[in-house]
Amino acid sequence: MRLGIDVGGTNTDAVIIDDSGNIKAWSKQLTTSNLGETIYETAKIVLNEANVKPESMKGVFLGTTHVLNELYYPKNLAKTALIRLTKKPSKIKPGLFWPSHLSKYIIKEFHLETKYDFTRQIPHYDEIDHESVFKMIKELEKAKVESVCIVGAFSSFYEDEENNLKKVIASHMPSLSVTVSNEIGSIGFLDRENASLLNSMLSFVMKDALSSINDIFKNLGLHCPYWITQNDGSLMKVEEAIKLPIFTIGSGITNSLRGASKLTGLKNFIGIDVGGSTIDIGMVSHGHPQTEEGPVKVLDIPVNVRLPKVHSLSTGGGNLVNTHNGDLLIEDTIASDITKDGLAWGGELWTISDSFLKIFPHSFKDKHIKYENLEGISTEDCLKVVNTVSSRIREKIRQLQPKDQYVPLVLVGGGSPLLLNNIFTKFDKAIQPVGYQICNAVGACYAPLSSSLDKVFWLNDRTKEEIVEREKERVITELIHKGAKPETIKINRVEEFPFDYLKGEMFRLKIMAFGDL
Amino acid sequence: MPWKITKEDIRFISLGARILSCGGGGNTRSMEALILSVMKDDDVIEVIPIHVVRDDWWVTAIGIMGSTVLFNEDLPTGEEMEIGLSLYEKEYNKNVDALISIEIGGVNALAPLLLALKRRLPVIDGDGMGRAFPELYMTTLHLNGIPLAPLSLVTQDNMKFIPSSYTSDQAVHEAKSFANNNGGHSHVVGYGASGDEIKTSMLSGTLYLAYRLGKIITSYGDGIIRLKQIKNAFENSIYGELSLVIKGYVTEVSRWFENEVIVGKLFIESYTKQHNQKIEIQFMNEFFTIHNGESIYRVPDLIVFLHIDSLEPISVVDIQRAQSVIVLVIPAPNILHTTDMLTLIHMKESYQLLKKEEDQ
Repeated sequence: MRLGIDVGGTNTDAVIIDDSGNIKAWSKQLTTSNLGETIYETAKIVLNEANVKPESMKGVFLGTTHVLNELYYPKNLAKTALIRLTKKPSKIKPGLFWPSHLSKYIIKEFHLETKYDFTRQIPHYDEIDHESVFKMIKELEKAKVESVCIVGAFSSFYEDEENNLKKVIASHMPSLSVTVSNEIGSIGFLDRENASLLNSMLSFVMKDALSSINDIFKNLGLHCPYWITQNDGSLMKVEEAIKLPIFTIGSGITNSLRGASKLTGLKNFIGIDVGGSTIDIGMVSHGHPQTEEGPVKVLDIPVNVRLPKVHSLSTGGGNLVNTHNGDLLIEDTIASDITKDGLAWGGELWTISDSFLKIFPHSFKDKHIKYENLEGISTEDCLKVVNTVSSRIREKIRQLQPKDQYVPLVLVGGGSPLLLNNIFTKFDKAIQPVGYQICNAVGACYAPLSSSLDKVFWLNDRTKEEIVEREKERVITELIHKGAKPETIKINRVEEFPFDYLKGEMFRLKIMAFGDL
Repeated sequence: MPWKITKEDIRFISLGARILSCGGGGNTRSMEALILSVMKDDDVIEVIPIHVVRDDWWVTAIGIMGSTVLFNEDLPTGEEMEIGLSLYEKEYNKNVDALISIEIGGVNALAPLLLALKRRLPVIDGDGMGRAFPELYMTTLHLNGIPLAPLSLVTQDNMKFIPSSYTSDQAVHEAKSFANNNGGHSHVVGYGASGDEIKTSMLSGTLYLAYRLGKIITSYGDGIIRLKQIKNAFENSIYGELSLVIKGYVTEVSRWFENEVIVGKLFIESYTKQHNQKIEIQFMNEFFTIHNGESIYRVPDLIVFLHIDSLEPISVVDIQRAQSVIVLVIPAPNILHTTDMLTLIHMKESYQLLKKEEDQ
């Protein structure tokens, strides 16, 4: 038996799935500012409803969009210092292309000279220049820095220098959280620095949300292992998530796509998740949600971390509709709780959902909806909204559809009944599986373990094949160590990239492997 | 008309340069970040159009050569170009009066700007390629007999001066081996010539065009209007008449190695059903050829990929399946179509590469 929990911006869902894949029970609660409490309440309800013993639970799987929300609306970001480890200081200022509500959290910048020269291959690494480090630590203390981010040039070739500096800082300031860029991203200094800085700033967010998780699960009588889902849809330990929060920012849609795959049994399809503030459209092939890495942007900040490959339309069910000088506008702002604020529910706000309900009454089986509340808005305007939204979705789908074979559409998310049988019909091979409202929580339950590598290697008298084989072995061993069943392990991809101008002497290798618990 | 580049203009030039790079030319981000970090709000860089360039000036071309991947890891200090120019002036015993970009396509459009700012030198409105090409010698400057050497090369911790006694071929060889042995990339000051010589061998007006293109793309207004403005901008330049090849989406991308270089091809399907158009595009360092049933476009003409909504240029590295794109072709300036230039950019070998792929 598995317990999946999805903490979204608006709702928190929990689901219990038995070993044959049947949903035993599910619950949905509004997400409050106290995440621990929300998780506790939602889990408690679903455990009661399913009437299963907590001991029979094999694992708890937690997905959340909490970290991403924090970047949009910061409440708990850490004041961060950046340490660049480069040969010489660069005049490039950090946080240049950032929105100011985030860049203001970079409060200090240091430069330390690296002893590493990749062209000589062997690091001339004696020891850390303790004097400069002490001086720096004094300044960190004085500035009341809350988090430190270390970015070393070529750390994807050679990570020791970043890691050693981290150790020294940690020995002086044990409570400070330290991010090292070699754990965040590969080659490309500025993009890696951006991702590492964001990770550093997010230090408190996961820590505060999850530090009590041990006690919460204990209080619920759950003594099984528990996991957090990350951007590529695979699992990470809670300790890892606390250390590397940046890797969870895209997990919501990935869980939703995986859930859609489990609920329908389909391996290849286009998933459409109709949420409150966005409609996310993504592709699942061979059972895996597609991801992409660099050049991706988070709030316009270029970063080189892997993120799910999704097309987000800012036309979710909760987006507000307005008329302005005779023009119809779909706004970026959303109703925070549509079942209170939406016109159809007796509220004051005209949303996309209201427009759909006017044209397609009874899409939602919700007895609180009063259709007479929609009399004030014009059918013509609502039809325009419906047409705009549906043509945008159709356009994206058309682009994603593979040319050789037409794949079905799977509609999930709380708002998806608005589309099914209204915009998408059997003719489109559109499916809305049972459990569509809790698809994210279902997907979290089935997240696999993963292990990946993205490093640069010098050949040093070895053949490329030798290195690839050795690293493949290493990735597989790591997966087994994490708890994957060996027979389920699949190497998802092996990619080699040469470096022009350094013919064949070095290459970048990317390996990605998945395995089931 | 002489004009002055302000801090605000840097991002327009950076964006426009990526259009002219035809998908290659390297990532402009580090260089843009460097200039924005150094430039003060009221700083300006003087730009000199061709007819104001004085015959007795001594002009050098500025650029960065080598691996763009490694350049983006090895943050520039911001001092390299100044060191390079000082080395050049000292060893060659000649003062430089103005700078020009080796290559307008990509990061090299920005390369002379920081130096111009710091040394208070003007930048000439033009460049040596009119787009992006993969090699240091593939310039109209070289074509017109301006020698590459004397040449100064600077990396973070090394520098080298190659005297004028080196032929251009020898200088290219030396420069490459210096870059290889010093981290895979190098800042370059070379192609020195009198104003008179530069005027007759450069591609004129390309810096202003890059600025215009960037400005148009970032302006508000719907796609069709901005596209029309882009067309107009090219019409008032040394390039040919822009044509829109296709508006559609990428249905397939494949990449593989050929002589240790990543090459690839992709297919685009048109949005407009009545044409039922599907085209094939090949790429190497840049977008290379378009096969469109009866017609073929190829290098040196500019093949440009723009994002369908934002009109931001897309590089050969970033192009992916399911992206919605607009593909434009702009005939290259006449000089790039001459037999000598086509030989210089190895069009013959490139055809062979194409053929090999078709046999597979």
